Amino acid sequence: MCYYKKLCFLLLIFICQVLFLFGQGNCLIYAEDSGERKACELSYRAIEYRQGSKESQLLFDKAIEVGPKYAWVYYQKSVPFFKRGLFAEGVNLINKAIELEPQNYLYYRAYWYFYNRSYEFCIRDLEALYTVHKDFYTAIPSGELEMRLLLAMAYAQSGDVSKGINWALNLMDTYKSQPHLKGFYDHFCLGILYYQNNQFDLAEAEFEKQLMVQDNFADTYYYLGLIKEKEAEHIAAQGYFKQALARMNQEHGGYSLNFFTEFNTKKEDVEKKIIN
Amino acid sequence: MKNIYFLQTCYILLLLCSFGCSSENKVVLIAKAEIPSRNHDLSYTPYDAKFDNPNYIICDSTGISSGRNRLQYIGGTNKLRKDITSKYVYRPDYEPFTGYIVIRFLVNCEGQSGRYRVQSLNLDFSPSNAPSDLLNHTTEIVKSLDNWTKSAVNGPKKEYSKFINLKITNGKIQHVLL
Repeated sequence: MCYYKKLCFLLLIFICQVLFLFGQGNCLIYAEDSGERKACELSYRAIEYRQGSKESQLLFDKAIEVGPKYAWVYYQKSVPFFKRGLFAEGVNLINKAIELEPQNYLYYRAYWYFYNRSYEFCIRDLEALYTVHKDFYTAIPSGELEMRLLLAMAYAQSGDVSKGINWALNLMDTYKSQPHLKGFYDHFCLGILYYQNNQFDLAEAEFEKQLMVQDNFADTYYYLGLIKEKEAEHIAAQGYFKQALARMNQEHGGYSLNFFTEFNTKKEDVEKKIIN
Repeated sequence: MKNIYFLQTCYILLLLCSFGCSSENKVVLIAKAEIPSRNHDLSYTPYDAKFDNPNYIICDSTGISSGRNRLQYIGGTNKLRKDITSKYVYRPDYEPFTGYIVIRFLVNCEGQSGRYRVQSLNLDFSPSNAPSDLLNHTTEIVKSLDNWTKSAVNGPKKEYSKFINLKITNGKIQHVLL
């Protein structure tokens, strides 16, 4: 019994360590009167104000002045710059955060590179994150996609679809031991990569799995329609295109998303496919 | 049992060491001049006599809305992309430029656009020197767009900041990023 108590105690220490080292938000982990502690406290005061407001920016500046080695402040200060198209300033700030803690902030720069179609730089950052820093799981800021899916799509957009597929499969491997981590659009992403690689049977299998996860997502039906069209199953293809359009028109809770850059489905493309 | 105590002690030592090491090992030089500092809301663009019409007034520099969909274009984003690309005239002297041209502007309480700013960047977002004719041409295109509509939810007096990012490859517009 005592043996189990000791094991539990060790486990508790381990959990505390993980939370302390990798969680944001506890300024007490920094030594009292240290620059990092002061910068941390000022940063938390700053985020109480509206993002991008003068008050928050001035508090971030003060935090950087007292604790220039505190990475989170550079990240937090960079966010409103990026959101307002002030990319040069934003990247200067996130570069500082990456210098200090690459494992925690590479993903954020990669995210902005990806959505601005700078795929080469996105690949460089995410290869470093997963290959050098052995990141286990990091999602985009809004949470819908794991960063390996962005890496996979970036490779596909740069002409190396097979490498992209390998990264998506690498992510899928994670789910064998951690099934609860599986995202809402993982099968869809792998499906579009297989489709791009002309592996239509594998693509169809992934899109079918995607329908099991979420059947209101319009884009899956569009790609299934494209596959049926290639197989000359025109009636089935038309059925899928009509289902895609209905969901794009938000019928029965349907929706589309713009997370996939050039793989996004345009409503006008779906409309063109439908033969009246 | 002794093993457990031994493991526990090692783990605690490791834990203490990891705290100590994490802040001491890194020597990072932070050049203060590179940190952008603004004494106003980031959505606001202050008046600059070099570029701006002195009669262009911003009613409330602290209440400018900057969300991507707050200021909309009549006809939607596809129409906006088409309006920009159809007005763009390629010239061979633009060919060496690959990177971004980011054009920012404000729409004030009277519904007028102004305070246009343009910046060219490399693909890693570092500042770049695009041909000045290319910067002028793309800025004039954005200035000529007059189909902006304010969100009805916020009322007609609400002020907005907006940016349009053009990804240029070899002097041609590859993407209009909104």
